[in-house]
Order: sequence, then structure tokens, then C-alpha cells
Amino acid sequence: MPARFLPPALLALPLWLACADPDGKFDEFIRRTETEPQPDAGGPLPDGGLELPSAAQVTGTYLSVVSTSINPKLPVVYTLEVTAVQQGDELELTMVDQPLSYEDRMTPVGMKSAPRTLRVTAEGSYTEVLTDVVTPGEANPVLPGAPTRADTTFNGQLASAEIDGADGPVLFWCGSLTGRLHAPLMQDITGTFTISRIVDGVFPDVVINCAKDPANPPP
Amino acid sequence: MTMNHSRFAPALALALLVALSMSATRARAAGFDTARFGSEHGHAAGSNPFAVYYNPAALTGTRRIHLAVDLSLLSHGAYYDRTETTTPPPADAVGANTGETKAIDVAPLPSLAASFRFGDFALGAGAYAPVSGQQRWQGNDDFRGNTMYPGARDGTARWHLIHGDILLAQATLAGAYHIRPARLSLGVGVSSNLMRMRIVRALAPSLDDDVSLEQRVRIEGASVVGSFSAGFMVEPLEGKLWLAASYQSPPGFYREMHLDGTVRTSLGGTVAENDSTIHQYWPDVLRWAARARPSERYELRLFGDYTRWSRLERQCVTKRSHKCDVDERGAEKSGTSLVNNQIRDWNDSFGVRAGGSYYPTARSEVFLGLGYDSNAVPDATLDPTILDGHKLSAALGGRMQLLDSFGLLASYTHIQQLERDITGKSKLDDPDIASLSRLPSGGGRYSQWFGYFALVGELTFD
Repeated sequence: MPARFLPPALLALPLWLACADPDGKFDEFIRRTETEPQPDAGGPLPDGGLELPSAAQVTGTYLSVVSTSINPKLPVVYTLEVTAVQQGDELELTMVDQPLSYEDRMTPVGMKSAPRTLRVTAEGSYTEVLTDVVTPGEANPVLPGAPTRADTTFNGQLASAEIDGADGPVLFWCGSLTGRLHAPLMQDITGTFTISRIVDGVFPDVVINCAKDPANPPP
Repeated sequence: MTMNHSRFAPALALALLVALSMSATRARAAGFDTARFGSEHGHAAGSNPFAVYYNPAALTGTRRIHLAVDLSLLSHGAYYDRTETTTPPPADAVGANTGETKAIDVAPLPSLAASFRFGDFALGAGAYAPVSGQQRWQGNDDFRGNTMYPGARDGTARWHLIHGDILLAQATLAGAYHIRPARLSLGVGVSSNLMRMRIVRALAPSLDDDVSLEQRVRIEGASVVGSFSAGFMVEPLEGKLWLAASYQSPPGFYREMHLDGTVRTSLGGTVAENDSTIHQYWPDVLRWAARARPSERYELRLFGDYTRWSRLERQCVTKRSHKCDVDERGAEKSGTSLVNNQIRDWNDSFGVRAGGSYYPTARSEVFLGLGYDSNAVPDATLDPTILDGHKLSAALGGRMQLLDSFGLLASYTHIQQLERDITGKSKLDDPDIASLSRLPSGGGRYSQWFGYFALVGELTFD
């Protein structure tokens, strides 16, 4: 190569190498989609009493809906048994959940969780950290058949819960979540959750956030 | 075997590998099996330093000091018409998953080798990229600026490959000995192999091709491993007939290759990058050749190879350093370390080439060759990541001895893959396959061609 062509050739080399990087196509997609809205709690918290309900009001069986950024409209659904105990001006909640089939959102699949306890502050807020939780593949509506394993932190607000009448049972509360999915894909996740009381055995509508946006119907 | 375990990575070899990899990764759409260096004289009975790669025993046929540099320029064209989709797109995204796309590119692919013969011994060294390619499928302009389905702009091949490259760069040291009474040469070689893979493709959390859930994943991994080769060459008719065969072990010898890297995913508005390992078995190769020189004016050649691609049953991605432990359905037997398992189930393949040279003068040569390469990739697992099919090839070239110690060869080889239509035959999305081993359908029509412009300079001293 004649010497005079060498400098421009060397200058062009980094450009050539840069063009060859497949990561460029990945980043290009991120740029194209970064204006899309990110998931959040999904609207204002419901207009509740803004006072912490009593233990008796909270205790009961609920439908728990967990919606993540992987596909917000296809949540994982559980029944959730909540037992509340008054602890001074706070509440102690003991919770047991049972995953439900993604196909009908009613049939239990897999094992019930072990009871876990969390503390709700006098202001009604709570944080629940669940690590290494495996959800059976039969409950996975996004990738049916594939079990998931995740660490998730739930941030709920019980003081703004919907209550049936003045002193009736809690009907609905909600919150947001963050976490990390370890399987089947490794991915940070964000999302929302809702907890709706099952009254007289009748399952409530499956809503994914505080704004009560409906989930997609099951397959 | 990983870089830490490699026993065959001398400093010089690694330096050559690095230099070579920088060149080879520039090869866009350069195909897959690119072991064509030496042009029609690149075979198991060839008398040039590229014998280091094709058959170390043939080093005894080189000159006392022999250097060869191959400056191939590769052009490649690929065509894919995706005729079926696993999940039909909505009405406002018709054409997002089906239709035609192409990949066209040109790339340099240098190789070099040298040999030194003293008495009945010969030593050689070389650096080359027997497998190298980069493929970037064209996008779909119909979806340019579409904010509802922003992924569709990357074309109909995107569920398997948007842009990717593969490189197997090899640096070899070899030695040979000629047993004069038996007119037999024996040779062995050891190689350091740098293997690297990178792909970017579309991904839906549902592992189908649902455009409403479309995201991206980038998988990359690299490893340096050793391999060996051995061969023989016999000369039944002295100066007139040479018969040769060689064996090249798989990179990593016979153990599973582990390419450490990362998986980068974009899902639900967040990007994550995690350490990962690609698990695979690479093939070994058996080569053979017959070369006849009935007169000073003519040479005839018949040579080929048999490649055990059946070793490539899967390319499995796990979390870093975890085992790929999957059953026949591709389901993980235990644990949750599997990220993705692409079922390959390739078949052994073979190639055969026949050709000849005419020497108008003692310092000039014209040659031609015809060849056939069989198909390694079954209909069930073919996808636009790596194309293959039945291939026909033709080569035409010439060589001039410009100086007593310098000769120059120029040639063009065209390889045409016959069109394949596997509509309705893809099993990648078979519901019986476990979820993390499933991909969207690869159904459709495929074809490709390669053009190799070779310029080989040889410097010799006797």
C-alpha cells in the first residue's frame, strides 16, 4: 500500500470496526424504544380512608395480582390468605399465597408458600422483601410451563385501602414492586400489584394496578 | 476448556491470533466455513505452507524456506424469504414477520503460513480463520418510524439474527518427517484456537415472535482452546502421484467448549447484562487428497473432507460456569441456570473438489476446479443465523513465477448454494420442545452465494 494511503486507512479502521459490532443493533433498538412509557404504580392510589384499618378489617382471603414490566397485561395471580394482628398502632400481617393456573386464574397450581410475616407502619406503608421465590410454570402466563425464580420487593400502602362502608372489611389495596428475575431470563423488573378481597367465594376482576386497569383475559 | 486451561497459546501465536481476529471480525456476511486459503492448492496434498492447516505431513513437499500470504477478498450474498410466523402479527403489523430480506457484503480475510525444511524434517507455522463470518440482515423500511412496532424495522430474519459474527481463528505450529525409503511423510500439528460468537436478535418473553412483546437480546462468548492435527502423505509414483489424508481434532479436543461472555437483554424497559457461558461441541475434520502430475505440463487433483457436524447438537447458554443439563426435549433437568438452548442437531457433511492445472511454461500455470459440499443443517433446525444447503463451486485462476523466489497466484472461486424451501418443515417452534429451547419458526426459502477473490504470494528459497 503506498504510504500516502496509510494514514486515511488507519483513520478509517476504527469506523470499520465500529460498524461491525453487533451491539450497535442492540443499542439502536434501545434508542428507538426509550421514549416508551415506563411502568409505574398505574395511577393514583384508591380513595381510601387514609387511616390504617384494623386487624379484623384486613384479615381475609384475597386475589393477589402481580404485574411486571416483562408483560404488564399478563400478571401472575395468587390467592392470598392474610391474618392481621394489632401490634400497638401497627399491624402485623401473616401471609400465605397459592399460585393459580394462568389458564383460568382460579385453579391452584404448585405449593402454597410458607407463612411469612411483615409489619405495616402506623401510616399504612409496608415493604416486603421476597428472595429466591420460585413460581411454577403452570402459573406463568408469559412463558407457560417455564418456572420463574425472582427476588422481589413489594411496597404497599394499606392506609389508602378501599373499605366496604365505614368499618367494613378491606376490599382492595395496591402498590408497586421492583426486583430481579433470575429465571427463565435474567432481568431487572419493575411492576405493580393489587390485592382484592374474594367475597363469598366470588373471584374479583383481575386488575393490574392502582388504577384498576384490567389484565388481558386468560387464553 | 477455557483460556486458563489452554496449554497451546505461545505468545507469538496469540499475537497472530489477535491480529487475525481484528481482520476477520471486519468480515461482513463472509459466510461460515472459510477455509479456502491457498485457493485450489489448499488441500491435504498441497505443496505450500498452508499444509500447516490442511495436512502437516505435506510440509515435506514445501521448499527449503517457504512463505505464503493469502489476501482473500470475500463477497457474500444471502437471501431469506420468511414464509411462516409462529404468532401471527396483528392487522396493523402485517409484513412484520414474513417476507424477503437479504444480506450482502464484502470482507478481507487474510491468512499466512511459513515453513522451513531441513533434510527430511520440516517445520511450519500459520495463522488463519478457518471459520469466520459476519452477517447483517437488511431491515424492513415499511416499518421505519413505526412506534407501535419499533422492532419490525430490523427485518424478517430478526427473530433469529439481526447482526452477528462468528470467528474461529487458529494459530498452528507443525512438524513433519519424510521417510525416504517408504516415500512416506508423517506430520503433526498443535493449534491455539480463538473462538468468538456474538449475535443480536429479537426476543419476546413468550419466546415466540409476538411483535407486541418484542425486545432484544445479545449473546456473546469467547474462548481460547487447543487442538491437534496429524496426517500422512505417500508418494506411490515418485514425483508423479501423491496420496494424503489428515485428521484435525475439534477445538477443545473432545470436551465441551465453554465460551464465557455475557447475555444482554432488553425487556420491559430495562436493560440487563449478566455473565454467561455458551456450551457447544465443535466438529473434527478428516481430509484426503490425491494429486497426480503425469507430465510437467499437467496436474490433476481430487480432494475432499468429512466434517463431523453431528457433534453440534445444541448451542446452550447458561449462567456463567453452570452446566448445561437438559433432557431430550431441551428442558433443564434441575435448577434454573439455563438461559437459552438452541437445538442444532446438525448432520455430518462432506465436500469433494476436482480440478487440474496446465503449465504453459515452467513459470506459469492456469487452473480450474469444480466442487460440491453437502448440507449439514437439517430442515427442522435451519434458521437465518447460519445458512447451509447443497453447494456447488467453481474456481478459475492462474499463477506466475514473477521472480526466481517470488510467485503470485490469483483466482476466483464461486460457491452457489441451491435454494432451499423449508416452509412447513421448521421444528424450532414445536410445542413439544421445552420453552427455553424453543424459537420462532425458521420456515421459508433460503439461498446464498460466496465469491472468493484470492491473491496468494509465495516467497521461496532453496
